[in-house]
Amino acid sequence: MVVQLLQELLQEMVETYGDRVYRLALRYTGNRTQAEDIAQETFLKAYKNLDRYDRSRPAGPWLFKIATNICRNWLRDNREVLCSGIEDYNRTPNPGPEELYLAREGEEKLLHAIHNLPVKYREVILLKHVSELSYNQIAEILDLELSLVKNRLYRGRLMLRDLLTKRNGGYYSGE
Amino acid sequence: MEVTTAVNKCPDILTIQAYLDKEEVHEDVAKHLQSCPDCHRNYRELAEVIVTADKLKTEASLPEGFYKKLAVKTAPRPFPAALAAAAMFLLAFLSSYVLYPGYLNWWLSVGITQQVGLMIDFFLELLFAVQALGYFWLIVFALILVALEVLILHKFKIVEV
Repeated sequence: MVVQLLQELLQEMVETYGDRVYRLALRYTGNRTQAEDIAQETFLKAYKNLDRYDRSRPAGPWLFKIATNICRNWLRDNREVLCSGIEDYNRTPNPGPEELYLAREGEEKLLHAIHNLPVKYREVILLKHVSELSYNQIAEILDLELSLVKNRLYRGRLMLRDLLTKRNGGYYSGE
Repeated sequence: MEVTTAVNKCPDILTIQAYLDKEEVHEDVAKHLQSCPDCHRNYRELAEVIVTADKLKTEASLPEGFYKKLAVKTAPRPFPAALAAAAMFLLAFLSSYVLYPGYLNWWLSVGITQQVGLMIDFFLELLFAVQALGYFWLIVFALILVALEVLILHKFKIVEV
């Protein structure tokens, strides 16, 4: 394919899916800079593999699969630094000191909850609630049976509720 | 559709979840949830859980200029492309000369204007071709080029292969 055509395809992908990929990475890492890096890596990888992408199908699941893998690698490399620092990335327009404090506290609580969810639940939850994908798409991205997606989504949501309301001290280990 | 819930049969919690997630479920599920108090309670509870999880939603969007940065990284690098085109041009020229020394005389006979014109055309076409190719295809392309020359020269019975 001609370079220009490839770049047009890339631009289209960024316009359609860029924000959702970025949000996924943002929730995964809790950090704007890291999220931008992950999004960029995702699209660069997609660009390099465009010849392997079947253009008759929507690019979404394919892109989110790449993004999820990059997030997994990120997680593997950053296990220690997690939760050590977080930015207030949901900027409210002209926040007062009170609002800023509340927003920041809310974000920290969310990030804490996400990182205390076991990974297999976390991924399903993030793809559903942040990237707003359907069961079938999530199953395709994570290579899971549809029934497993439903199950993990259900259990993950209950865990997340418990973590956010601190019903069990805010921790889930292992299962 | 795997769900076969009848109006009088209680759907399991995953089916209620699917309904809340706006996935495809049997049309009777909605009716049942209205009429069965137990299921309706489960439905309300799960809806609350989902609202809590929806706190994860964010309206954040990609920083300005994201695509521009990406475009810079994906832009073809002109130097290797030009270099590869130059190398292939040289290869084509040298192989022609080796295969048929009379080739040079032909070049001299066409006159300087036409010579320069042909060279520019050929070089630019190579440059465009090379930009879109990986190294593997570059080599294949070069081999095809030489084979083509041999074929043409052979056809004109100028060279014995």
